[in-house]
This record gives sequence, C-alpha cells and structure tokens, in this order.
Amino acid sequence: MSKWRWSWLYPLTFVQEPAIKQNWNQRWKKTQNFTLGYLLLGSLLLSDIYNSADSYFGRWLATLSRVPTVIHHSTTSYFWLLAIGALSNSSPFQVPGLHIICSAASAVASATIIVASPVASATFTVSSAFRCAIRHSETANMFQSTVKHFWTSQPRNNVTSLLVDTLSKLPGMLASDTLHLRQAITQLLVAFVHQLYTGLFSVLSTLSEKSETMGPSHVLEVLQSSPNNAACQIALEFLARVVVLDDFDPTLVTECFNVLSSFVSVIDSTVAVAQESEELAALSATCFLYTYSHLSVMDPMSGVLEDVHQHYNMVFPLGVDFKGLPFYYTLGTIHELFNSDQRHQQHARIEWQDYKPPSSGCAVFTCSLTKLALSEYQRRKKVPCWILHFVLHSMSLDPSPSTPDIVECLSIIAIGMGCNISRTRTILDNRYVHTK
Amino acid sequence: MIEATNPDPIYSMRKVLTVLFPYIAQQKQHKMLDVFLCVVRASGQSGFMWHWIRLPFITLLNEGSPVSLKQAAILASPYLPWWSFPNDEHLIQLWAAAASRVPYTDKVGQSVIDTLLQIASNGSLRPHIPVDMWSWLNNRPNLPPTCIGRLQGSIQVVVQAVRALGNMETLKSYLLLVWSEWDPIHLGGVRNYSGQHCSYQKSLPEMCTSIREDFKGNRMEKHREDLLQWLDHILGQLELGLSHLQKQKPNLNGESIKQMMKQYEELESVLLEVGGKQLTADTRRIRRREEREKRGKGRGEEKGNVGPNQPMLKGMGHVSATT
Repeated sequence: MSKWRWSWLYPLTFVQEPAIKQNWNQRWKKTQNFTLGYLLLGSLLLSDIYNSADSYFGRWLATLSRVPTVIHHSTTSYFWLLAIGALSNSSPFQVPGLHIICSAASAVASATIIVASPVASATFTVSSAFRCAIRHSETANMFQSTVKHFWTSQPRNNVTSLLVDTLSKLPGMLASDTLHLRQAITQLLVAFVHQLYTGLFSVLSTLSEKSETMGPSHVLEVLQSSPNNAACQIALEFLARVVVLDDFDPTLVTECFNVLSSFVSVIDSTVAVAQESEELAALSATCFLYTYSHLSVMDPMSGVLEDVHQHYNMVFPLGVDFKGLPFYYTLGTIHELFNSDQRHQQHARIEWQDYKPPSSGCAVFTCSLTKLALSEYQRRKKVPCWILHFVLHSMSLDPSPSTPDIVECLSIIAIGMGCNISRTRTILDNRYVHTK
Repeated sequence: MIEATNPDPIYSMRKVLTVLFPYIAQQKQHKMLDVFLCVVRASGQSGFMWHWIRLPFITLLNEGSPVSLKQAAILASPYLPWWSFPNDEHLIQLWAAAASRVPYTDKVGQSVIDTLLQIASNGSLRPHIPVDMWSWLNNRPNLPPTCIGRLQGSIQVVVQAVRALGNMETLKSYLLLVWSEWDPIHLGGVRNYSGQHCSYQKSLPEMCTSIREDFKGNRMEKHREDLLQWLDHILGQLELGLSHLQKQKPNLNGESIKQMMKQYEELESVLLEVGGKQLTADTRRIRRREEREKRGKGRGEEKGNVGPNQPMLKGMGHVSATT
C-alpha cells in the first residue's frame, strides 16, 4: 500500500504532539465529532492515570513485579514439560494436565481450520473497505492538492498563507471524513459479519455433509490408528449415534472390545475402571454391545464373534459381578450374553429391577437387545428369559419409557411370537414386520 | 371358539405373552385386554403367567394407580401363578384392596372368585385373605367352563375354611360355585410349594359332613332346596353326555363325566337324606329325564322361549364358553 493512502491519519499524529494538544482539543469540540474526540480523550486519560500510578506506586509495583517473574519461570518450566510430553508418548514427563492440553490443542487446531477460511475472507473485506474509505478521504485529497500546488506554484513565498488556508479547511474536512469513516465502519462491520456467517455456514454444511457420509469404516480407521482418548471418544460417540450400520467391518467389534478391555479390567474378581475414563469405558461398552449384536444378526457364522467370545472369557471370568458400576446394565448384558450357555456353572445374573432407561438419546441399548433377541431366536427358536425380563420391566415402568424404547420392546415380543423382523431394520424407521 | 384350539403353542409362548400384559393394561383398550385374556384362558393351563409378572402386577394394583389399571390387573389375576408367591401377604392385600375399588361387573366377579379360590387353596396364602373377601362368593357369578379356581378351591382345606366362617349363605354360595358339570370335586393329592406331596384330600367326605352337620334342620330347608336344585341341573347336564359338554370344554373325557356323576349323586343322596326325603337316586334320575322330555315338547310348542336347563338361583346360569 502506498504511503499517501495513510495520509488521512496524519492529523491524529499531530494531535499526539504536546505543543498543539490543547489547541486541537478545542478544535475537536467545535467540529462536534464525538467519536474521534472521545477516543482521543480516553487514550489521554489512560496515559495520565498510568503515569500517576507509576510515580506513586512505583516502589510497590517493583516489589510485586518479582512475583510474576517467579510464576513466569515456573509456568515456563511446566509448559516445557508439557511440550516434551506432547511430542513424545514415551517421554517420562507425562504431567497430569497433558491430555487436557492435547485435546485443547487438537480442538483449537480443528477450530482454526474451520474458522480460517471465513476469517480470511472477512479480513479481505475489511481491508477493502478501509482502502475505499482512504481513497475517498477529502482531507487526503486536500493535502495532496496542497502539496501539488506548493510544488507547481512559482513564487514559493506564500507558504504561510497556503498553510493557513489549508489548516482553516482542515476541521470541516475532518468532520466530513469522520462521517464517511463511520459509514464505512458500519458497512464493513455488516460485511464482516455477513462474510463470517456465510463462511461458517458453508463450513458447517460441509462438515455435516461429511458426517452424513461418514460410516463405521471411518470409526474403525480412527480406532485402529491408536489415537488419544479424546479422538477415541469422538469416534465412539459417533458410532453410538449411527442409525444405519452400512459398510460394517466385523473388525469394528474387536476394536470396540479392545477399547473396552483397555479401560475395564478384573483384578482378583473385582472390576476396575481406569481413572477418569468411566465415560469412555461406558461408551465403549455400549458400542461393543451394539456392534456385536449387529454382527450376530447379519453374520451369525462370523469368526469374529467366536474370537471376541474367547477373548472376553479371558478378560472377564465367569464369577465377575459388575454390580455398582455406572454402566452395570451394559456390561451385565454382555456378561449374560457370553455366559448364558454355561448351565452348570453359576454366574451373576443380570437384574433389571433398578433399571431406568436414559432420559435422552436414541434407544441404542434397547436396539442392541432387539438384535440379540433376533439372533438368539434364530439360534434357539426362543428369546432368552433375561431379555424378556428386561422388556417386562421396561413396559411396567411408570412413567412409560420413550416411544423408541417401547417400539423396540414390542419388536422383541414380536420376535418371541415368531414374527419375522427385517435384519437390516434401523433403530427407528424402515421397520418391516412380516408374520409367518 | 378359543377353547377348541390347541393350547400347547400358546402355552409355549406364555412368557412372551406375559411380557405384553403391562403394555396392554396401559393402553386402556378393553377389546385388546379381552382378546389377551381369551388367549391366556385358551392355554388351558394353571399358572399361565410368568412369575416375573409379580412386580408389574404390584405396580398396577398400587393405591395410586388408576382404576382402569386396577381393573386390568383384577381381570388377569386368575392367570397368575399364585403358587409361586408363598406368604406374599402384601400382594394379597393389594389385590383385595383393588378388588373393592373396581366397579362390579360379571367379569370382575368371575375373576375375583376364581382368584380367591386359588389363593384359598394355597396353605401359605390362605391366612392372609381378608375375611370380607369371602363375601364375594355371595355374588355367585357365572364361572366359565375353564376355571382354575373352581377345581383347586374344592379341596378339603378350603371347605373347612369356608365352614369356619360360620356364615350359611356364604357356605351355600361356595358349594353352588364349586359344584359344576365342568369340573369334578377335587380328589387328587396336592403338592405344596416345595413339591412335597400333601396328605390325601378328602373333599367329598368333608362336603357330605358339612351337609349333614350345617344344613340339617327345618331352618335349612330353603338352602337344601337350592342345593338340590343346582345338583339336579348339574346331573341333568352330565346325563346329556360327553359330546354335549365337549362343545364347550373339549378336554373333558368320559372318565371325568363318570366321576362327576358319581360324586354329585352321592351329594344329592346326602342332601335328600338330611331332608328326610325317601327318593332314591334312580327315582330322581327318572324324574329328571321326564322333566327334560317335557321341556323338549314345550320348546316345540313355544318357539323363542328357549330357557336353559338351570335352576332359578341368584346369578347362576348356564355359561357360554364362546369368547
């Protein structure tokens, strides 16, 4: 940008000079330009306050200034440790706040990518607006013409009269420029908000389209790339919301179980959940149940089912009791599922008397039970009693469970009565029921 | 006619059907409930419902629940496996309280009495029956051909329990309810909850003793007449033969008809003996046949005036099993 374009800012530079400060203040009052006047006044006032405070409390500030230095050094050391821990997972400096920083950093990076494009676009609009305002500035044009006139006029002795003439015109032009500038600021603000909104909307639309096209295969990719907990949680949360399990890879069942077994373990017949990972453990249990039930319906002969069954029995012995865990019903269902064939050995049976369906969210758990009922009916020609007991309990709740839950419960009853429910049915819609 | 269907497939699905009950009860649709109860009844098995139904049942019977839910629970109560709830005083109290809140209809009366007799036949539950619940017997509703409580409620201990109440009207109503052409008086041994065989039941001798001791004297003549009239009706139906009765209860067989004939003739002779009448059983049989023929002629003369062969007793009548 050429230098002359900033010429409309020169009067403000003059105002900063102490010699003519008072004179200019008086002139500003006359021009009735409130906006720039108040801006100027505010900055002068702040400057005075700072100078006074510096002289009076200089000593105290000097003493106090040592405290931030100590804090600064400690914080710098801590952040170095964080940085080293973040760069290498094998680093011994895995300080407690590291995962928060990592997740925050990834969130900031994602947000930056999302916001960068509309912000760049909006910035371009702002700069264009400013350029336009400067180009049409009367003050700048006047200075330009004055300087041109000064160089072209042959007797150059009338400089004083020229300067006086210019200065006399200056307040009126400044007022006019200020008005134009206000209009420009308003216009650019509107333009900025519009650009930002349009940009963000387009980004969000793209993301939403992407999430619609995302499927279990993407979740599998995320889980297989051994990500951190935050990424894992996002992937599993997505999986728990997926209504149609298209392009379903059976390996997803194994991956979900791996996540579950990495957070839940059994030590001396006692179930232990990794600290601060209860939510993720519950989510992985839900997803494992969901994917396992889906696979057991879609491909009952899949070798993955057998492998996972064996793996489960190694991790969770028969006598383990999940009572007391916040996700007892999910784990209890899985345990019941894998041990219901063990007729000669006792295992802790699942009890539903305290079960309450979640107040929000879709009926993933009930849908999983419906799929299990379907697969068990295909295998044994009967729905297991523990699933029927769940339905009986859910149907007897006061207040009644949500409509999706009731629909799933009625589906289980229909399966038990020998109705043929489509295997590819989704949680809430595309329901096809045929009586035999 | 649902009684004619094969009950086995339905019984095999009893758990699934049980699970459906709370939903049907909450829908407040009488037709749906009626169909459900018909299907359950058609299974022809005692203790149809799954024992897990206890908790949902308590929810339905609770004081705070609407009358419609209470009514649904009362109507379904005969199909509960009462034998699997030993010493469950709470459940019986709730059931009794709910029965008193529900508006009386013939179906409600049938269900309450059916359930009452089932509960009374269980040694651990009988002591918890509120005394005023026995007065429901005085309503004498028409019990259907398949009625679990009628057979179970004719055991000796129940006869003794009703006699112990000391109310002749209730005792007579009880006998009129358990005597039926659809079921014999219970003679077999019964098992308690732990599966042990109880002592052999002597229901018939207990009833004969009751007639001799409780219904003797001139003051009891009216009661004896009512009982005789009812026995006359039952024997008349039995004399019509197996094929006639099987139309409404297909699982009846010739042996049980013979057994019932023998039982009710014995009761009839005891009643006649107590009343001091000299009519033998053969004489009464001939008289019944003559009366039947007379009615047959009357039916031909008076078209449209086809009355069932039954005595004019309160609430009692020929029960259609069609549903």
